[in-house]
Amino acid sequence: MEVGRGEKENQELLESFLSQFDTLEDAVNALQDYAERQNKIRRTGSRTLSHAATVVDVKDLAKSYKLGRQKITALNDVSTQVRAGEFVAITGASGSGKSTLLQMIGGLDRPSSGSVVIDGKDIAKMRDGELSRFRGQTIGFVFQFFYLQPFLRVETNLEVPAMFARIGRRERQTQAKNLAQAVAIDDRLRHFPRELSGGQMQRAAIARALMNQPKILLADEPTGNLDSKNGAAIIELFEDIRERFGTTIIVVTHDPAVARRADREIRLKDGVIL
Amino acid sequence: MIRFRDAIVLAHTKLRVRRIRTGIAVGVSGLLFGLLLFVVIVAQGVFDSIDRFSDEGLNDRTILQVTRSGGAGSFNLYDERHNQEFIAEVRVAHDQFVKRKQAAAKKYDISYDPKTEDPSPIGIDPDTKQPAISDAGYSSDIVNKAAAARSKAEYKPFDIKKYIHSYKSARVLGEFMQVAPSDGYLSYMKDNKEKLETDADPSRLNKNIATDDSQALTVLEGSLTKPFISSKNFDAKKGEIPVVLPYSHAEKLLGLKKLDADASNEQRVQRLAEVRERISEVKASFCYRNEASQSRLAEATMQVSDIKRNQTSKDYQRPSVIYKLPSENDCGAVTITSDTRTAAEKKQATQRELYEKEIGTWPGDPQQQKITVRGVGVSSDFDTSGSVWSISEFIKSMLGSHLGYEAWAIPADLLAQVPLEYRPNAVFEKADNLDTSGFFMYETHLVEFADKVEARQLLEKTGGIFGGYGDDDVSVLPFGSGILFVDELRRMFIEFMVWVFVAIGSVALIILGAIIGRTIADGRRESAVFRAIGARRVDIGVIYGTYALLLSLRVALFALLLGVLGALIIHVAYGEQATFGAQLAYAASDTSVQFSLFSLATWYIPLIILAIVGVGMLSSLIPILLGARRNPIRDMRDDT
Repeated sequence: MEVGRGEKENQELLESFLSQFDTLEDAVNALQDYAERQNKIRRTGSRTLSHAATVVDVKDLAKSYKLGRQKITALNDVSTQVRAGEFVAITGASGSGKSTLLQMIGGLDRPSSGSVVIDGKDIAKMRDGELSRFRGQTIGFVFQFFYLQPFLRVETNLEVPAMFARIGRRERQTQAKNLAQAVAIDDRLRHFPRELSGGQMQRAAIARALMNQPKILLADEPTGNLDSKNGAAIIELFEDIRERFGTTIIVVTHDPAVARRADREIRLKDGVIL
Repeated sequence: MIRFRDAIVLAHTKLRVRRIRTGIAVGVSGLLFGLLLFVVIVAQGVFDSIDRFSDEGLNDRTILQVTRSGGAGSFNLYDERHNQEFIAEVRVAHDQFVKRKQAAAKKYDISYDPKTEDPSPIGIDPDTKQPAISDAGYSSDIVNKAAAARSKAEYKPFDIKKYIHSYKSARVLGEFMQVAPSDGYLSYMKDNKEKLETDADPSRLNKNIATDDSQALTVLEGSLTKPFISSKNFDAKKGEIPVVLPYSHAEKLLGLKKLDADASNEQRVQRLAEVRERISEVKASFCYRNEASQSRLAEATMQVSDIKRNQTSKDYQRPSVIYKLPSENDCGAVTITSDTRTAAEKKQATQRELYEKEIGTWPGDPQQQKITVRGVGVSSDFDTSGSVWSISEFIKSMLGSHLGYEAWAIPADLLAQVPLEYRPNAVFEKADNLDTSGFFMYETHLVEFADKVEARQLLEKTGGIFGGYGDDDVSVLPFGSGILFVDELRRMFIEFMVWVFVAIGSVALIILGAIIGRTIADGRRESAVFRAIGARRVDIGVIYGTYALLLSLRVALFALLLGVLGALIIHVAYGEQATFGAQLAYAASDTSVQFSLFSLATWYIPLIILAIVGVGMLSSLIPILLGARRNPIRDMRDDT
């Protein structure tokens, strides 16, 4: 069951929000920025969520696997929908099934039962090759540990998804430059990942995820390996991306600050949505 | 599927992880394959060089020397010593001989008592108590003549054409004929001088023994000697016999001091060229004497010695006929300087001559002739100052083109141009195959094969590529060159290298399989990430396949580098020595031809490179298949 936010909860969130800033002025500035962004969204009409199409439709999804003789149920009868351009946070304790749900949506794993319809296509019924192609074109992945190839320059790292999509070299180089600019690492393109800070690495990983202009961006604990400042910056980047490209963003997170920035939060416990 | 160019970019990153492990794998595999390539490059250099030298000597021809051993199937006196029929025949012949002597002695008034006749060649065998040829009988003329007659009657000539008829490409070049006078001796005149010492043993002047003092002469078909001939101005009308000499003999006869053992290769090759160029200056002499001339010479030398020894003795009575020895340079006849015999004595001598002619013991009139030979060409020899284990010596002994060991070869076509008076039939006509004891001597024929396979078949029938004895007492040996040996060596080499490759390939398969397997296992998280960002299983397979290809190419490149470098070092170190060895081995007419120990001109090199890549790819197959089946989620989870 999806939940709204109660008064008490809002107060807790406010306190938590204020604790991120050194002064009240900083907090007010941040709120003003947020309000401006929201206004901008309203003005441009890029987020007409109530009218947007459903891009992710999870129905009666279950996933169980065997661990030795024990049967583990990771997801149990999960149903949810995500609309185009929505920023959704999946939260829950460790082992609640949030990463499994993300992987199911990303088509990295097959459900035991139920269906996952992405952009109108039931990916559970796709064959491996078709699914991979679909994933490469429709979904972008961002990981907690970035997973950049250490022996490739940042620019080449960005191009990797385009390589699998057989996009021409010139085209993907242009795209990599544009994305690097969008995530503010264009001065780091010729560097190797080891020469980048954690925040820069995650920005590069996000740029890589956006390489094939996916409709959906899936992020698994994207701020889990970053300090709060860089974490906040990454979330801002997600918002910016959604604003610019209209990308649907689904983030798995432990971080309440991230969850708060989302349009909606899906809470999971023991494989079911609360 | 991912583009190959992009797969290379991604696969290349795999080579950068675990560099030490990858380095060891590349190093060990490369070293093994490098060794293989090194051997192939050196061997190809050798084989190419042999081909380059194939125009020299007889290396472009496949000739076998087919010999049937003496007396095969004929009468053997020793085995037949108890043959009562033969003994009866000898007894009759002996009795008839005694009777003939009695009659002739009476006719020519010669005193002859049968009791003084040599003991009968027939005695009683103490073991069997039966008549048998006695020990003395083996040296009896009567016994030997009877045995020779039987041998001749039982002798079946060696039908060489029949022997080789199943080999369609074979043709008989002719008999390998050593110059061997049927009556008397042909002796080498060292320094153009005949041995006239009183202790001269006629056997030392043996016609067939090749020593420092006497050489064996062989008449060979013109096409066999032609490649060795360097003199263009041989004039048959001068009455000299043309000969092709082994290099060291020619060098000595030209009065050239043998080069020091530490002489440079350049000096040695220059010497070879000089010997070839000056071969027409080589002149040597032989002296032919028939049995009568030889025994007259022996009698004369003994007389000269006696007279000299008894110069001061008052009791010494000089012989009535005094001989004069010929000049040692002439090979002339023994002459008589004084004859003080009485008329009766002279008559008695005439009567004895007639008597001996009647009973068949007269040796005939003395005949002698000086035979002069002239160098026309140089063949290789086996007498060198180098070490047996040196490269040049190995090449010479294995690959040399020669005309028989130490033999002086007379080109039959040039010999035929020499006027008959200078090449007496008594010397140059083929002698009876019977030796003086009635045993048949060896019969050797030279047979040329257009098809090397057939030649090898015949050799193998008689004991292998180096030849040997087969059935029917026939032996077969390669003649003129080691071309069959080289071919066999080439065949064996290829066979051997295939096995070496299989062994090395197996080891490399394990090494590369392990490293590729490990790399794929280590990269499972990365593969999972690739899957997440759009890679299909086949893309992962292509990336790792490309990685295996790049790794194999590194191994191949390293191996090639090692092989080429090693072969170059060997070539630089031993190439010059090998060139010298080859030029001497082939008695090369063109001394600019080099013997190289390095050649890349072989299909085996790209084949081995391909095979290395094949081994690498093969070793990656199972790890790739296993890797592609992995669950990316599990791999990502395991790693985080």
